[in-house]
Amino acid sequence: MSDKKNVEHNHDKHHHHYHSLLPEEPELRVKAIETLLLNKGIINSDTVNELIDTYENKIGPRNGAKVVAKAWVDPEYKKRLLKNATRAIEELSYTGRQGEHMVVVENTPEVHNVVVCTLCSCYPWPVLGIPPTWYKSDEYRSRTVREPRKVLQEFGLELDLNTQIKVWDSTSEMRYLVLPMRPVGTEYLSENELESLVTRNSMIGTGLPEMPK
Amino acid sequence: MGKLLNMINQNDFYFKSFEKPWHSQIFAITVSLSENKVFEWSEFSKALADQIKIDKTEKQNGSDDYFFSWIKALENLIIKKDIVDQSNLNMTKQKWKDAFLTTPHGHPVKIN
Repeated sequence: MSDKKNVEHNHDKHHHHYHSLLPEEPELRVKAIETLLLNKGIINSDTVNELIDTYENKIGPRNGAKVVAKAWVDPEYKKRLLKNATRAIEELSYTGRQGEHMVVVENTPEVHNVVVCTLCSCYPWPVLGIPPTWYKSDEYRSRTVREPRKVLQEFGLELDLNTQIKVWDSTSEMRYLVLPMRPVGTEYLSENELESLVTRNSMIGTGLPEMPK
Repeated sequence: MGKLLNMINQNDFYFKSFEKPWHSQIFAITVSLSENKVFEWSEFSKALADQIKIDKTEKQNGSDDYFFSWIKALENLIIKKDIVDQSNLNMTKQKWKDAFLTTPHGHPVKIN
């Protein structure tokens, strides 16, 4: 790993530190874990760096958006997706870690779905990437089950009072993706154009797809 | 209103997978260990969930404190699996600390 970030200038007008900037406690603990595991040959730094690159740059909610857009334009695909999500998502080659045991839940005028992980932060990595900070916050994890309508309001989502809200609690065995409703007035858009309307939050259930401009 | 909304605004529009390098580092180390079958991912998930419960003295913001729980969960798990022990972890951490405090700035920080 690069040590460059740790040796940034630390000139302070009041004190002169001639040594390198001391990282915060958790960072030192991560370094200790990493050093010991590297020395024992249990991990290797190329693999670790590759994993970071993958989840920082290659895997993210655009994958999920492709799944959603395809389901909007292809009724047969949608059927397969709702029946066996893991396999239907595999058709688009989005497989791998945390992509097993996927379930897709469909929004309708009657039912709005929202996904949470109350225990930790289980999340479908292959289609959504790494969960956003709020998804991991105590605030979101504890309140979504208790008062989903209020939480959604805080996301700017005012649902019709007649719309039922279903909350899905993810586990390491079961991960959910919301299939949002296709926005009205998008009949003439291509699959690619539709894809760009799908937001990450709309696939968690804390948002809706964007309207076409 | 309040907390949640602030968080959404802070990190939703210009979305980054990880807020800090040590977050991504501990994440990748953990995934790597599970792929090497040191433990099952479900085993780690459970350890993390337990640790989050223990640490829940204050509201977790899902950022530093979440990943700090993650570090502790992983430390306990690799200690339980006899891969490292606590004194080794402490010693190595101290070595890094000393290295940072004694390496002149502008030089790469290393330990033996």
